[in-house]
Amino acid sequence: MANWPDGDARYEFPGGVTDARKRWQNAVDEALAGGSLQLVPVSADVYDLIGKCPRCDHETGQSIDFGVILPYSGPGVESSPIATFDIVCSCTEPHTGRQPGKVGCGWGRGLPLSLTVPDGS
Amino acid sequence: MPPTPEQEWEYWDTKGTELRHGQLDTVQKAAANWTALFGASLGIFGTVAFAGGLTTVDALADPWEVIVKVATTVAVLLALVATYFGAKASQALSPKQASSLDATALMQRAEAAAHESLASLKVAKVTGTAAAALVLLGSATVLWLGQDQKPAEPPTAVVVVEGKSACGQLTKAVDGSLVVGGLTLNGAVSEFTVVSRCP
Repeated sequence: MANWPDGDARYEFPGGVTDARKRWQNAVDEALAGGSLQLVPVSADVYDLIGKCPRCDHETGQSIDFGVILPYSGPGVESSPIATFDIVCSCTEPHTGRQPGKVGCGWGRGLPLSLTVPDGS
Repeated sequence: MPPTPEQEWEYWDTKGTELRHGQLDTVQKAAANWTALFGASLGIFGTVAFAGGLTTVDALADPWEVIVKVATTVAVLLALVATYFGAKASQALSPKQASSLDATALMQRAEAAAHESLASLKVAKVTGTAAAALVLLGSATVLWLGQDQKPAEPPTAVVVVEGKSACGQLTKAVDGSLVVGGLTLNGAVSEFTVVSRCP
């Protein structure tokens, strides 16, 4: 398995990669704990997740809404201290194999991760 | 061409973004649907309950009067249930706040919601059809049975016979003569007045 971070990592959709979700969860948790990824509050429920992608070390960022209103309920707990989101690399640095119009190194897509809901949300 | 896993993820991720941006529209739509539901419920009661006309139902002979009233009540309840489940099938009555939003979970929610909507729609169709059938049957009953034909009752009258007055229902004696209030009408009847009841 490739060493991270790797700025020259090839673009890939990690859907078929063995243990991808576990590896991505661990990498994001470590990045949040180490400060290379940060959750910056924007409003009561909305945060900006900004920093370095754990895989390619390029600048990435996305919006996280911890209190989204959906038109329908579904499986799972509606209100939980642990929320799941797609944390996706959105860097604009070049990555071999990435199709025009796409961003990031590919990782995070299809790998829902658990995030602890910040206090106050 | 079936979508690849990445394309499938991209589709649901895009849907998630749209839903997040449209949260206010979601709640407004639910509010509008509840308002319409209340209005439709009141309209249903008026339509179903008065389909045959209340005075017409009251004039039916037993046991049809009771049968039609029960059928009308059941039809109103069925129609209310059908209206509620029809609105519920639109999945736009009860928005929920969730702390999680990832493409996979959204896909699962949408699939579960679709199954739930289908089940609600089935209930709405069955109860709505049953309500319509009851209303039609009740209306047909009122139409064909018409008013109750009660046997005519003899009149009540005030009579004066040979200076004597009496009041009562006109009856027939054993010998065939007519009697009012105990007075036999076999003599000179100077007055015969039909009244609704004796004074």
